Parts: sequence; C-alpha cells; structure tokens
Amino acid sequence: MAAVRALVGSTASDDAPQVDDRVLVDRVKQGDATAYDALVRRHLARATTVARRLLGNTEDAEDLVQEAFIRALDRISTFDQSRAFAPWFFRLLINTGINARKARALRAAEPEREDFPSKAANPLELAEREELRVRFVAALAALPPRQRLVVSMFEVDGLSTAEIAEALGISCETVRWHHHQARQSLRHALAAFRG
Amino acid sequence: MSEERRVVSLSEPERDARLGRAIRTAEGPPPSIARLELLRTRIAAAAVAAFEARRDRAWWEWMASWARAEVALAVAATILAVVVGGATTVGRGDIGSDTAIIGPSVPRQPSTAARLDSVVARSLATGASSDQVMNALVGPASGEWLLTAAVAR
Repeated sequence: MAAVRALVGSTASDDAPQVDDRVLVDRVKQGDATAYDALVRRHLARATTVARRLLGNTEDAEDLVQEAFIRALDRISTFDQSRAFAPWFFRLLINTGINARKARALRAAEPEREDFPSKAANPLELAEREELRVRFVAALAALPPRQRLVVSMFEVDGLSTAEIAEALGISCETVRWHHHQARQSLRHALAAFRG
Repeated sequence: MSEERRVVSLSEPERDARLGRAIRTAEGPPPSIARLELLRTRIAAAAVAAFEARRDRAWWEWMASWARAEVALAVAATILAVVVGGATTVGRGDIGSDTAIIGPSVPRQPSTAARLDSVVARSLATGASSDQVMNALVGPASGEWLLTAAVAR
C-alpha cells in the first residue's frame, strides 16, 4: 500500500482526500462525473510526472495522461474493486505510453530546462556543467522507457524495488535488473566528466 | 538467467544521492498548478462524451448482466410449458383421439383430473410400449397417419 500512496501523490486541488479511491470508482461506475473528476485531480500530478519520464516531453506526456484517463473511464467496469485503483491506472498509463512510443514518431524531446541559479563563478565551470547536463539528459532520454521509469522512481521518488514492482506489475528481480542497467548507463555518462 | 543478472536480482540496491539529484535536475521542474488545471479541464471535456456513451449503453449492459439468469429462466419456462402443455393436450384427448395407444381399456378420468394427466403416467397405467408413447407424442414413424388425417379433413 505504500507504493499506492507514493504513486497517488496529490495535487493541491484534491477536494476529497478522505474518500477512498474505490468509493470514487464505484460512483464513477454509476455515471458520477464529479467522482471521476476527483479521481483525475488525485492522480493527475503523478501521472504527468510518470508520462514525462516515459515520453520525454510535456506535450506528449499531457496527451498520454488524457488518453489514459479516458481509457480508464472506458474500462472502469472491468476494474476489480477489491484491488487498489492506482496500480491499475498506472499500469494502464505505462502500457499506453510504451505502445504510443512504438506506434508514432515522437516529437523531438526538448530538454525541459530550469534556470537554476548557479554558484559557479567562472565561465569554464559553467560550460563544463552545461555540457555535463546535456550529456546526462541525452543519456537519460536514451534509456528504454521502463529503465528510465524504474531508476527515476527509485532514485528520485525513493520507492523500494518491491513498491516499484507493485506499481509497474513486474517482478522485483526485473525491477532490480532494469535499475542496474539504467544506473550503469547513467553513471557512465557522469563518469566521463569525472576524469 | 545470466550470472550477472542473478547476482543483481538478489539484493536491494543502495540509493545514489548524486544520481538522484542529476535525474531530478534533468527532469526539470514539475508541471505548474495552472498547467495541471488546464489538463484537468481537457480531460473533463473529453470525459463528457465518454459518460454520454456509457449512459447510452447502460440499458444494454444491464440486460447483458442478467443474461445468464434470463437464459436459465427461459429454459425452465420452456420445459415447464412443454410438460404442462403436453400433459394438458394429451389429457384433453386432442392428440390421444388421433393416435391410438393400444392396451387394456382404461376408463377416462374426470375432465379436471384428465388435464393434470401426463403422457408418461398414462402410458404406465395402460402398459404401453415406448414406441406407442413416442407415437403419442410425435406421431407414428411411418407418416401415413398424417396423410390419412389430411384426406379425412
């Protein structure tokens, strides 16, 4: 359940945090659009983050999130209410995203820059940092989607491999393998600058 | 599974804070609240059509959900109709008068009781053979009775 909580996240506008997802799903099954909106609000931020990790740019990620939520609505009658909603929805999102990557040419992934204030004083250090950043972003973008997701969920979100396995619907061993492979590729990209 | 993969899969990896920071930086800032709100509005608009489609097919799904019970009830009703209907028909003598069940003569039951009679009970009472029971139910195998009946009318 920790994975579910971690995946669920929350948006600032979650109006019904006390209502269980399953109750909302039950109401959606009966045609309650308000309950559906509450589900969307609750999972939107995390879904967008996961979609960006999968597809590499915000526009495609938002399209994917919208498609996943609409698919979830279409398939809501097949959802087993004895289980948690979040893993079911995120598996749907991830599978849709992976299929979308295969099916269409993605828009060129533009690095989503944030202008962090830099403490570096001299131009040489700034240039090195920029080159490192560009290399690392390229290495991250080059990872297979599942590897990128796994390493981000583990290193950034702080989930355990068991929690990631539950969320992605794969075994812990497979999660560890993806994590190992991803970390090797990314460390290699960083090591080039360590000398 | 390769040796490397087997070793990797045995233990929980340690977290790499530097790698985590680098990924976080590369991923950029999370989407703003305003952007999320815009996306939520898009999803809500797209969901309207999906909800309408769900309402349109709701009656059909309701029917489909009862399909198993409906089929069972229909079969039960058919069997009941065949048994009661067949017994009533034979009891009234509509078929019985056209087809002769050969055997010791049995005095006819009173009309109310005769309606509740059945082909099986009657054949047991008269000691009729299985061929005779089938003749009574579906007509003689030869088909001549049909021609005879048609000419007679």
